[in-house]
Amino acid sequence: MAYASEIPLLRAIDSKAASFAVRAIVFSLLGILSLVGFILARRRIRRRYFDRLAGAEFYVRQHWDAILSGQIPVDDWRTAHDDAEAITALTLDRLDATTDPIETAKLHTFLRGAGLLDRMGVDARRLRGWQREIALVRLGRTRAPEAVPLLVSALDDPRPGTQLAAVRGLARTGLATAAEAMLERIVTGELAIEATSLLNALMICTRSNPRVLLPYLYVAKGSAREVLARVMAETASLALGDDLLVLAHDASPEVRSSVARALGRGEFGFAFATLDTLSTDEEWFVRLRAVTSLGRFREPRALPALLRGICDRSRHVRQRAAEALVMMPNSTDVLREVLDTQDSYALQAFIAELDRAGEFERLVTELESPSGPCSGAESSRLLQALESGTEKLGAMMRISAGSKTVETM
Amino acid sequence: MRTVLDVMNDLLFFYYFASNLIYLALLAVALLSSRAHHQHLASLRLERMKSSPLTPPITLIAPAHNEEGSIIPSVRSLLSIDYPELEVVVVNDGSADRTLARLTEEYQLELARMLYIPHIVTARVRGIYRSARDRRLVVVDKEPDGSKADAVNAGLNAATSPYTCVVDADSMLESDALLRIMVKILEDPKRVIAAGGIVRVLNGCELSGGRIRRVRLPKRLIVVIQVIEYLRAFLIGREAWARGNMLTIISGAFGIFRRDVVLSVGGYRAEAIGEDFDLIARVHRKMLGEKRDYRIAFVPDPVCWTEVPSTMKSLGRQRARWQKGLVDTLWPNRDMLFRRKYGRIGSVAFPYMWIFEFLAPVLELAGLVAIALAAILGVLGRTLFLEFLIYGYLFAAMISVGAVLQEEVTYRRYNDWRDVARLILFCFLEQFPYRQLHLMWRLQGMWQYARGDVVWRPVERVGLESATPSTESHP
Repeated sequence: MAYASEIPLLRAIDSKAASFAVRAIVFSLLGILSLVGFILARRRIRRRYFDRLAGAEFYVRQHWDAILSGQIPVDDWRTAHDDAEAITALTLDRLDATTDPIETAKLHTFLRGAGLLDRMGVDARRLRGWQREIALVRLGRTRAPEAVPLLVSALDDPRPGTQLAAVRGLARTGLATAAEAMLERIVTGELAIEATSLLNALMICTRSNPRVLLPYLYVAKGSAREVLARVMAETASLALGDDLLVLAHDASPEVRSSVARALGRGEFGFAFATLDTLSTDEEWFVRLRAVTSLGRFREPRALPALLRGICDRSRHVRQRAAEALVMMPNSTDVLREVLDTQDSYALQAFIAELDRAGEFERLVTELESPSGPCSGAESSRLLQALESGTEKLGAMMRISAGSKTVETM
Repeated sequence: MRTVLDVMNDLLFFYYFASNLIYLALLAVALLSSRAHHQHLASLRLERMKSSPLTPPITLIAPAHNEEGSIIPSVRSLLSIDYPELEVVVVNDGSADRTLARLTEEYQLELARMLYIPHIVTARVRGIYRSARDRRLVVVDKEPDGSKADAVNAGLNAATSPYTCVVDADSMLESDALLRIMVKILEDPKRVIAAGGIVRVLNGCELSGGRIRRVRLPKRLIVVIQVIEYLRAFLIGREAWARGNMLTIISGAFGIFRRDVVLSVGGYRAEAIGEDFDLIARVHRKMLGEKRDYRIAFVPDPVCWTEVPSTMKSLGRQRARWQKGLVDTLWPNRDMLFRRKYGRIGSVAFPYMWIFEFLAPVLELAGLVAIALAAILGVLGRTLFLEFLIYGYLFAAMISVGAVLQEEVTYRRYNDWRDVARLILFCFLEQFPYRQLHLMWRLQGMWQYARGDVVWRPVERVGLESATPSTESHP
């Protein structure tokens, strides 16, 4: 270190230090001035822009019906940038808000006739970077069928941001044709599948016809298959029919778990039998999904599987089974059944869930009532069980050391 | 003597020059990164996320110690957050005041019958309560352990969601903060294991019903300077480091984690001084050690508003504590330095923390002394000395103005042009004498740590509705 001044670079800097310092001051000063100047200029420009846009929006809202019906000719506003922007924004807002097919058709006709759809298409094709991303989502918001090919072509863009925007745009269309394009790319591995946006997009686009998923689900492999199964679980309808029965015996636990989830959604004739089988699956998350779905039916015939679930070796399955049991009608009978399992963890899980659902006090009041559902001796037995279970929960809470022993319960 | 001073000046010049280059690079990366994020947001619809069945449940954990003045508006604010499946766990960390009583009165707390599994060992839990008014609210009453970390660990034990978000009980989350912070996680749920949001200064803002009615800049000089510091720390520092997946800290005031990941590293270290920094360091260590592909993200638009110290004494205590927290985490993790298996964290982020954060006060002081001595002894020309000081002053001010620009081109929370003008003005006032005071506080922290003085001293704050001392958090 003592010889640092002999290092050529240091010496050079030393000799030029003075001029360097001055240059550094000038650089910093210019930097500050440019930054402050930019802030001030940007504020001013933005203010003027938004003032203008607000004016245009006000005008458009005042004359909306005339614009939509063509009383105000398109040529009057098409080339005026702010007016065209305001009209496009308002049309898209209306499309977002409406579910009426007649209104939608009317707005589509207007978008096509005024050339706005074409313009949005051109933007989605020609713009680059974030501007293209915004244009793609905007195009999707039109929900026009002709938007789909343009959005699909953006799926092949190498930029992940553009791909994601295309997925979001396709989701906005909600059309099954949009789903097919995404599915093809997922199966071939051309589309990254990590993003939840993609799952959401597929759910939205396949909701009207979940069968569109099946051919892809059968040929997909690995994580792509799991993703498609997950989508199926959320969109399943009676249209899937026997395919769900076949998939319930799939080798992939993720697919079986998705089937269990799907069966809780619709009134499939084979749901109970299949869910009953899945509730004994070797994978804990398949069993968890099965008991959750069984719980949704709130029917006594689900009781045996749910009681099995509340005694499961997995804490998560026990918790979900307890959640389902609390939702069943006739809590007193359910409590009696839970007690009959002679599993203290099952009883604790049931009590904890009763409490979480705000049902504990109601059940106690019911049992204490002379006109309650069971005899005095029986209700005393049940009340005592509730009390001892509660005590055990309290004791567990007080354990602040040796947590491992508790964790393995 | 002259040779020593000569060499010292050269070395310190290099150090200073390198740090300036790094700050400039961080500013440039942050500007590009937040611009990209901001544009990305333009095509995002939060309402879609809200209605999606794939949006996972979150447990908010709010440790509270003697927060009777602010606990009710805080909890009200937390429960009003716009998120589909939310659970709020308030941990009453042995408060000596009426924190628990106020919660019981307001939310009709009842003893909860719930499975509490102590995955992480904590001080004794006295009771767990659930609100009869809002079943989403759970209050864990525990004995004090003297650390916020222990309280958070108790909250983690009681949490039932796959994601947990730790917030200070005296902080205020914006209603869409959770939806926004989940954006990065949902885009890559397998890899993103944690995300931090921005913490902004609440002082000066107009409040109504537990919500911010109008964002305003505080009046006190010392608080405005902290606004600039927070903008610089989050909008430049966090943003740029996160871009390279080298984020080493997620603020204790607002951060979201995958619960299984936090449990897998044993939760927060109860004896850690800077528990938030310490946790992230241990998460990096575990993930990199196991060669896992993971990311810790920073999301600049979900906002948590927090009250910062408004007196010199409190601020000094806080900064001394932060410095102690820094060394308390860096030292035990020194074996991560320059080890191949710890990748960028070991070769870039941690060395930066050592050299430009931990050693900064020592080197800065040495620099000031050396330059002054050199100027007195004539080793350094007086003109050059002056020029060097002016350059240092202007460059630091430029970086701060850069943070204001970053705020301006992206999130624009300070709408009033007078506030922006004041922010710019204070970028210049910050460099003298605040910077020198800050230097002293940090040195004080190092001295206290070296002496083994790690006693927590409360930071006085006014509270959301009334005066109350409270816990603190690293920005």
